[in-house]
Amino acid sequence: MATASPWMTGQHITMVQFVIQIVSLNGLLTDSGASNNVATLVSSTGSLAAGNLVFGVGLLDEVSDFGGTVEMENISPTNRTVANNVFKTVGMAFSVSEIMHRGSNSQQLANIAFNGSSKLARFRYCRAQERNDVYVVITDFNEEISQGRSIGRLSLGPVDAGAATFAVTIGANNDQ
Amino acid sequence: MSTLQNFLQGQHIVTLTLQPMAASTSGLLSPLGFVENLILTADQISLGLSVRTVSIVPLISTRQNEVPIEQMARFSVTQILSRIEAASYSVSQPTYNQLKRTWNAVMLQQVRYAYLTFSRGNPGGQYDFIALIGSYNETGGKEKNTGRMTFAQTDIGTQNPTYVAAA
Repeated sequence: MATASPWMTGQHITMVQFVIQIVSLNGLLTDSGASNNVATLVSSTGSLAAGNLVFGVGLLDEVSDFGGTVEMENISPTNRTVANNVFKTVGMAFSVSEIMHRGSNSQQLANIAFNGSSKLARFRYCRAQERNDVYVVITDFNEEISQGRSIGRLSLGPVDAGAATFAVTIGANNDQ
Repeated sequence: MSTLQNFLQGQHIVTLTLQPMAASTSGLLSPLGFVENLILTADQISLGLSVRTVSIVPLISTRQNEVPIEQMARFSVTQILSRIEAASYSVSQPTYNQLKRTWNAVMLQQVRYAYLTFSRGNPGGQYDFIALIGSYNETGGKEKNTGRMTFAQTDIGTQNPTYVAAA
C-alpha cells in the first residue's frame, strides 16, 4: 500500500475566524454574532478523510507568525560569565491577511477593525485536526492598494483572558 | 580506490531530540518523561554562541580591546508541519508537529524548558543543551507550512550547552 507524505500546506487550513468580544463591566467576554463582529476567512464542512470536504469560504492569504514569544530577562550575577534567561510572561502575537474581493462580505478584517464592538476578539484557527482558540487584541490594521491583489492585514497582540486565553483541541474540526 | 570528500550535509544529522522539562519551585529541572524525535521532520537548524564584550581601553593606548563579559548560546529548530496531529500533549507521538505541541504546553503553562540534543556526522560532534523556550512562530501560507522554535540559554551551573567534538 502506498503512503503519501503528510506535509502540511495551506490547503489544510480548514477554519479561520474572528469573533469580536463584547466586554461587560466586570470584564466578562461574550461572543457577538452581529455582522460587524464576525470575520470568517475560511470555513469548511465535511472531511477529506470522508471524501466530503467542502470549503464554504476561502479568503485567507496568510497567517503569519502564528505562535508567540516568551518575554524573558537575563538575570545573572556579576560573578557568572554565563547568561541566565528567566521566564516572565508568554503571549501570542501574529497577523492574518485577507484577500479582498467584490461583493458582500468582501472586506471582513476591515469591517471588524473599524466597526467591531471592541478591540478584543476570539480567534479560531484550525489546521487539519487541530483547533486553536485564542483571545487576542487588535493592534493594527493595514491595507496596501496596488495594481494587483488587494490585501488587508490584521495584527494581533496578546491579551490575558484567564484560563481560556489559549485552548487547543484535537479532532475538533475537519479531519484532513 | 577512490575516497569521497566528507562534506557535511543536512542528511548527516544523526540525532535531534527535544525533551520538555518542568521546573520545580526550588529550581530543579526534571524531564517530563518522553523524548520528542525531531530528526525526521526538521526543516532547518540554527545554533551558535554569542559573546557579549565590553571595550576597555586605557587613555594611553591606541589599540582596541574587547573584554568578554558573558556568553549566550542560541538554538532554533524549524520543523515541517504535518497534517497528522497527536491526540494530546501527554501522549507521546514522536514523529509529527512536536514543536507546536510543545508550544501548546508553554501557552498552557505546563512547560518552560527543554533539553535538546543534536549531533551530526559519524563520527561527529554532539551538543546537549538545556534551554528556556523563547518563541514559536509558524507560517500558514499556501506553500510549505513550517513552525520555528527558538531557545535561549539558562544558567544551570555547568557548561551549557556541552559540546563533545568528533573523535
